[in-house]
Amino acid sequence: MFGIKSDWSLEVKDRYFTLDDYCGVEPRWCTGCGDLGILTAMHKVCREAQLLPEKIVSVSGIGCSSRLPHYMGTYGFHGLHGRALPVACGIKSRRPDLDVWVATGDGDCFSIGAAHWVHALRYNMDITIIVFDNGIYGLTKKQTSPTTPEEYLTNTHPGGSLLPPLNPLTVTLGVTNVSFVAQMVDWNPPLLYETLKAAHDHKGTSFVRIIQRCPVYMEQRSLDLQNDPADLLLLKHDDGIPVPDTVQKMFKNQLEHNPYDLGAAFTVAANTEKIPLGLLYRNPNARRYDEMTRRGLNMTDEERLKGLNEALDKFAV
Amino acid sequence: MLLRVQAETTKKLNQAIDPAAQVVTESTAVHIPAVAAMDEDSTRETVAMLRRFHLGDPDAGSRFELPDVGHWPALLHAYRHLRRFRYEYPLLLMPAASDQKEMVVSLEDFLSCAIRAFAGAESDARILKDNLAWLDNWIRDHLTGHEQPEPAIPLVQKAANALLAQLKLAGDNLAALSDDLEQLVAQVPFGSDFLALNANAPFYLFQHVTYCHRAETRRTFEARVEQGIYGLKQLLAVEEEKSRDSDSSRAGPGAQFLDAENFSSMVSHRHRGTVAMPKARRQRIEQSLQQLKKFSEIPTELLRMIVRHGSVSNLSDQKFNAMISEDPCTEALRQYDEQAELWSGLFSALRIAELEVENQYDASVHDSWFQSFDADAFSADELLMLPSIVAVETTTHAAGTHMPSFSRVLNSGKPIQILMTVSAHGNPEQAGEDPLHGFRMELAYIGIGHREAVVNQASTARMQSMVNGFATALNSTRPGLHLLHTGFTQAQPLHPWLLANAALESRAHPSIRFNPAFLGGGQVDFDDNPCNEDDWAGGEFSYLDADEQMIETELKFTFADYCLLKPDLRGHFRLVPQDCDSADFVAVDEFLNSSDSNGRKVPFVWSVDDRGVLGKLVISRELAFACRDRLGFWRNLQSMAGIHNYYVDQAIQQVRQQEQSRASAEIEAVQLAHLDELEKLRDSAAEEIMGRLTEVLMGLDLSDSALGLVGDGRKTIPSVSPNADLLVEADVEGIEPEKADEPDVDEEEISFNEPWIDSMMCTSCDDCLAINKVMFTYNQDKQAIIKDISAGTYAQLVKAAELCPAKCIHPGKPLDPDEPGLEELISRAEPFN
Repeated sequence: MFGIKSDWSLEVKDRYFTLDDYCGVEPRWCTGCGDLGILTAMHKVCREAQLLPEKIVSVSGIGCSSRLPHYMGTYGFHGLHGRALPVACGIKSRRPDLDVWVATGDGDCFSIGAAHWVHALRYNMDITIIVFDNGIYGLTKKQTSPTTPEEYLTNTHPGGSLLPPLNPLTVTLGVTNVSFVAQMVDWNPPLLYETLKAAHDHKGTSFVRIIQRCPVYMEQRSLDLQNDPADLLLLKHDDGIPVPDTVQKMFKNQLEHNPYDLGAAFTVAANTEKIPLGLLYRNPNARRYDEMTRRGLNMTDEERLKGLNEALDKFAV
Repeated sequence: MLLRVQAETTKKLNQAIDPAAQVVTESTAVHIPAVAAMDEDSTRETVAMLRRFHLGDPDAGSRFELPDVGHWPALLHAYRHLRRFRYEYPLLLMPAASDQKEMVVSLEDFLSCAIRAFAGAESDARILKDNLAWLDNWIRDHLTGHEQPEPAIPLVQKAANALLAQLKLAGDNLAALSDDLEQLVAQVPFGSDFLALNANAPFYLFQHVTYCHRAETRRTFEARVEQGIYGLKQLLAVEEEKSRDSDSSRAGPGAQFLDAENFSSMVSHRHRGTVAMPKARRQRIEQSLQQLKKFSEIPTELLRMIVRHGSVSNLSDQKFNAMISEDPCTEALRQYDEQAELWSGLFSALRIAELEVENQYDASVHDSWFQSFDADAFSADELLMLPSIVAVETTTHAAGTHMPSFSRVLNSGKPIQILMTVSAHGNPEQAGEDPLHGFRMELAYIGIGHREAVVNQASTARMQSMVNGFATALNSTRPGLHLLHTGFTQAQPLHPWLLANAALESRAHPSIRFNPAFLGGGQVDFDDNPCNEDDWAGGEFSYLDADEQMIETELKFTFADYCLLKPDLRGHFRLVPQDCDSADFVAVDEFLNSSDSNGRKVPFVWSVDDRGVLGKLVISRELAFACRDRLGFWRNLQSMAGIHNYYVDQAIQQVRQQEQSRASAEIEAVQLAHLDELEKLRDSAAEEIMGRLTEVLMGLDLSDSALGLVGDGRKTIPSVSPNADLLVEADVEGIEPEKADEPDVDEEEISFNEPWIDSMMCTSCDDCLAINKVMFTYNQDKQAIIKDISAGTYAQLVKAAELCPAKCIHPGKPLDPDEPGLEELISRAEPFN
């Protein structure tokens, strides 16, 4: 009405950021490593949203993927093994204005950091968790990780991995108050970008597992999937991950999946024959712990002292 | 003075950009506060008092609150914090002599088209595209307060420099943006100007449209004149050659011994060319030639504006070619006659020249014609050659003391244009009085009533419509009347462009284009009005009710809503107390359509204050009458435009009835025929079945095998689903995966000789760069591209394609036919091409 166009806003920002503005030091991952593509996709999400670099924090634990904060031209926290998530939650609870990204790996998150993984999902703070899952401990040169395929030869299991791999999707979906669960492969940049964008846009904890190439210690797993995508199942939905037309043709198997249906998400996640790609589950109404803990953050020192005194006065005799 | 005030208003509006103001906080969400409702008696009393206010009782009115400036019509509340928004201005005025399709384009359209011209792909000129809104804003801000058109190229150049300074880029990004900006500046047509939205914008726009139209006509005419001069000169040269005085030396040796006249007397006179031109003709040709040569002495003005003092400000502008008059219409008529006389000599000379060149001039016919040649004899082309004479009048004078001269122009049949800026809600002949008093005089209607004038009632809110109206009038050989609303007034809460839109939406200033040339119908163009089939334009509106439930409804934007935007009309509104509700309160649009015989209904409009509180405003009877007057005028216009026209509706109904009865009769006939046919078929089929059954029974084999029965007696059915085993590939329990579209069988395998990278699929893994950093590089999206194919070997290219995890490198065919091992490399490359 009133001649106003639907895209009426002409607000412009004083600052403009190129991809370079989000780049840190030159990555030292191996040539051909899938981490590089994930990093580029993250940079692009930041650029598209024109996020302020000084308002971004990338947090990591230990592992190949956890080098990521060094490669971001933002604030970063290269933490302890398995402890990326409590650090990220701490940052978010005191600085809700910051954009918090977590880079963690299959070992860092699903093994030593498993307890934090479960509770971070339940707390559902507004952070974006990216799990770089190459199915192996790469940094320490080929030890079995929770997602290493069964019978795969590693330095810790020279006769082959003994157990079937952990299914991170079913575990994640089983956590109370989980709000965003997606899975993607690193070698499809358009879909990877859309997945990270959707994860970043989601208000709450976004969990994205990325099946990632390790060209040195776990090459065959990804090569098989790349050469024959018959084992991949593309999830489609209007409220799912947008699938560009050019990409859609690459997937022989596609499934219309309602991301609000937790039961259907479990079914898709539990299927070990087909690897689902896309958004498995979304719950925009899940409660957020950061919203609860931010109360009082804007209080002045005087107000805090007053409150403290009032509380202490209750114990006066 | 007026314009200065208006310009400052706009500037302040644009300067008051406070990012915090853009954030619509929860407190500004539209809501009805939860208050305890009045008891029944108090409600009845309050409604009665408000009814008395409505009926004109000042005492009753004094008991209720007047709305303050924070009260806006509910439908406009969404735009309360609007400071920066996209709208058509500033405009880019294309040079008059250019080959551009459009005479005028909006800045936004120009920028996006210009970028498409050199950066069509999505990833091209990425930084520039991301900052297009910034450029748009910079130019917009720079033009704020500029009343005249500003040259476009220097301004875009300045904006480009400002953007470079703003972004502080370095390296490749800086180089890329600089290149793109250079190309953008190169797209700005030479001689084009920017025109900002201001009170005089319609006049500059009219001037521009006139130049664009007249320039082409003038060029064509100049060519005709030149052709005429050349033709006449040729005729005289031939005549010269025949005479004794001609330069015989040009005829070669011996020519001095030839006397052309003696020679002519000796030869047969069947060919007239050998005869000397009659004196009268020669004289006519010479006179015409002289007249045509004088063409260059006629002033080349294309437009002459005669302006009443006060009708347009800023007369000092040299670009605005205007003279002042106390009676612009009379002066325009006088000047038109003067121009017509001046040009009639030229037109007759040109016509004579063309007749002479064609040897078609017949003195017995043409002499008398040209003796009385004057403006009445001008052709349409000739009329459009005259400078456009424009009278800029005020509505007060046109509707009052100077109506006779105004009417004379509209009756004159002469292509004189009258331009007026109008108030959307006021009564033109009653300046200074209550604008709602009495029925409004409609100057557009008066224009239409003169039957011969093109009428263009337009608004700056619809730039293209206004331009089309100007063009229609300028292309016509009739008088033109332009009634223009700009949205600029001295005190207003809204951005002028929004106000102009509100006037259009509320039917206060509807868009009308009347062209009497279309006698067969379609004289009234009405399409630029929103919801032109409805009484009022409407919009969706949502609010939280007292129980905090979201209510979604549709509201109409009436003339009363528009009047709420005018501070001098606030006296016609009174706030209904929030705790008072009654079925007697009726929205204005419903009130106007209802037959309230007992006079109980009280009309109101919805308003929202600056705290987001939704409330009702009862309106005065005077305003209700004014709304009825607007609605009546609107319906008249609809009828003229063929919308809800009684006769058209009758005709449609009649044709529909005829068609329905014809169709019913046809259906009935077909059904009867069908039943008849069915009966016949049934009879013949019964006979045939009986015949066949008899044949079967006569030679029946009753064995099991002959009957095709298996052990349980059921008949075997062959499989009809040969592809059933292909349906499910992903065997997910309870979930049926879909199969993606199989590639078309006929799809041709595409092969490329040139190497290329599907950069979109590149995973930035460094594999190819590790092979050759000169051959491969990353683009602005940090995805691989081929930078220099000659910087490496085909072997490297093939190796990169093999290594690439995304399989996005396509090596094509080798550049160097002498490279060793090509045969093997080509076969390795094949799967990737």
